[in-house]
Amino acid sequence: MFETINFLFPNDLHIHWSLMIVMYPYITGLVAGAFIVSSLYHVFGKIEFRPIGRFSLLTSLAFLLTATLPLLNHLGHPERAMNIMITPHFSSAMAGFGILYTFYLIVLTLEVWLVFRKDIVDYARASTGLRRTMYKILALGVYDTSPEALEKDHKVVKVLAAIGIPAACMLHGYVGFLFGGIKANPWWSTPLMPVIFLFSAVVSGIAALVIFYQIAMRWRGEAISADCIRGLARWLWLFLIMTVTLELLEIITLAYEQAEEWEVIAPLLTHQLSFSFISLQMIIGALIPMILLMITVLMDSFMKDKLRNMLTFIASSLLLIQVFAMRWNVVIGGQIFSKSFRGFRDYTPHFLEKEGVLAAILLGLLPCVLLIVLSRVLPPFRSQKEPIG
Amino acid sequence: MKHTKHYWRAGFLLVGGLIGFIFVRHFLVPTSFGQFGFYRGTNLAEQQAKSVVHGGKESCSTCHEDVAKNHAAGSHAVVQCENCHAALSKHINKDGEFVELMPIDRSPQLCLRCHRSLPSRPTGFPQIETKEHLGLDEPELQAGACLACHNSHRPSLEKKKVKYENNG
Ligand code: HEC
Ligand code: HEC
Ligand code: HEC
Ligand code: HEC
Repeated sequence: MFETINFLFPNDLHIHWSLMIVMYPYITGLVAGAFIVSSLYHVFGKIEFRPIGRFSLLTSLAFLLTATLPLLNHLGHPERAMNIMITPHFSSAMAGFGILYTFYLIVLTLEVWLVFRKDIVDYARASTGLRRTMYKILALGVYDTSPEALEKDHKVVKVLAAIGIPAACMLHGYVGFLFGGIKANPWWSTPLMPVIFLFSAVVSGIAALVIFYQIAMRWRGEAISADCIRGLARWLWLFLIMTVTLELLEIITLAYEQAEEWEVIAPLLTHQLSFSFISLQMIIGALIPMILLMITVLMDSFMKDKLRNMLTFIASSLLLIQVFAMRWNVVIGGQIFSKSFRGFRDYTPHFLEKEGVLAAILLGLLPCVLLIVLSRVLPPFRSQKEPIG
Repeated sequence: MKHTKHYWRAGFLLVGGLIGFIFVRHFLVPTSFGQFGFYRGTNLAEQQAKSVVHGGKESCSTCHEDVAKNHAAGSHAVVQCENCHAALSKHINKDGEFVELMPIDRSPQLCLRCHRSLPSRPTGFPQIETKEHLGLDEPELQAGACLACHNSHRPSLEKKKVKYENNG
């Protein structure tokens, strides 16, 4: 416990939104981030992202499929989850999530399907037995891979990706809105919150792709595309700058206004959250990657591929920590101080409890395992000589 | 429209899914949902039909007059009997017949649930740190640790002039 406990309201003693509520925006953010990268290729024609154009879609899908699990674990009674879908109350932000999530899931599944359709048909033709049945079902029994059909698919993918961008932004912006819309809590209640969440989501998504892509290439023993890493580093740097700017902007506004909530937020940031905010979110997670990425981007012409890969890998790993720390500081930080604005409580998740560290680790690993499974069914990487399709 | 067969199939799947959802929803949403408000109407009747579980401290005094009297005179008068024991219906059914003995919890945790010092309790409320109070940490305390000195029904030790009756 901290020395500066002072006064808590009786119903302020417990942290109710636990580690699981930290995991939830974290995983959802990775969904949105990975999708934005795939759209850079599919919609904006950033050809350097071709090597991961399909992989990023699968990443998005794998994380999307597990995004609700932390919430279900937190709330208990997963069998009641569907109530929010069958009787949504439109004054509830959470009900909005059900609809956005479903819409986005449909768009994403359709896009994955169309992007992989030619492969699915080829596998269906080439395989036998159960495998054949599986691919036949995935192809919906239509084996039309004529150039005209593929051309049409290509156009539809573009449209879907274009719809998907606002959908992904809304999905994650909405997660920020869940916090930003809570007027009783000055640390959350700001219209900036959805935007901050969105930008840091893109940061985490790109960072995760840098890591996954490099690991996948090592695993397959193939060359890492220098153009791809170069492009990712550049975008990562851009989004990191915007994220940190927004994060600081929010705090600077609070500090400058010196309203009554600053009395509690200042000690919150410098004492209770000093490690997770100052050390992790700002220095280790933001300043250092910022410098590393600046070096990779600005000194690119002097750089060997190996060094660039290593620098982006390190920066990305730190950024994954940064975004996690940011989620932690928002979710837990917002509950550590009492609504009295005069006291603080404490929160340390245990390892084995229902919403503890182990559960969080498992929930973090699950989408990765799912991604590996999805990549087995729909191999996303092609050897680099194949024509664009 | 050539080369659109797979779109038609996907479209059918989606529309089929939507119709399936509406169909399933029809059965999942309880019929009385929305009758009075955004909840299941029959739930009101279900709640009303539930039998009374708690009786309040007055319900005990008919049979435990001595304890009730003692309890009412001390600072625990504000604490319901059922808060430390269990619900009346566990002990006596609604026809006033004996069901089973009321549980008695003699663990220090019973008392510490309300008296462990916590920052969220009002400062005027009697709170203790067991280390200061008894020289022992909480896990080291035995059952009955508090009852050795305090009477659970009338715990004050300050007013020496109060004569404790041992029966309650
Ligand atoms: C209808 C009469 C009646 C009412 C009402 C009643 N009790 Fe009892 N209670 C008894 C009887 C009879 C016993 C058994 C006495 C015995 O065996 O020595 C008993 C025993 C107890 C015991 C002792 C259990 C033990 O292990 O020795 C407790 C504690 C107790 N009652 C609490 C309560 C509380 C609290 C209430 C009110 C919520 C209550 N009783 C209401 C009749 C009643
Ligand atoms: C603060 C918690 C607490 C409250 C409130 C409380 N009890 Fe008790 N009660 C106990 C404990 C602990 C014992 C065991 C005492 C012992 O073993 O020394 C006990 C014992 C008893 C007993 C059996 C032994 C005896 O002393 O006769 C009865 C009967 C009883 N309580 C009835 C009541 C009734 C009736 C009320 C409400 C008027 C009540 N209790 C309120 C904690 C409580
Ligand atoms: C359900 C909550 C609750 C439980 C359980 C409880 N108490 Fe209390 N206790 C109170 C309340 C309420 C007061 C009165 C506080 C006040 O006067 O403001 C109180 C007062 C006291 C006091 C102070 C008496 C005085 O006048 O200075 C003592 C001592 C005490 N309790 C001991 C105990 C012991 C021993 C137990 C366990 C057998 C126990 N309490 C269990 C709620 C509880
Ligand atoms: C060795 C005897 C003894 C034991 C055992 C004991 N107490 Fe006390 N307690 C006292 C005395 C004496 C007082 C009254 C003097 C005082 O108020 O400091 C007291 C006072 C209290 C008060 C009132 C404090 C206040 O600030 O008004 C509470 C609450 C209390 N005890 C709870 C407990 C609890 C809970 C336990 C069991 C963990 C316990 N006591 C065990 C002797 C004891």
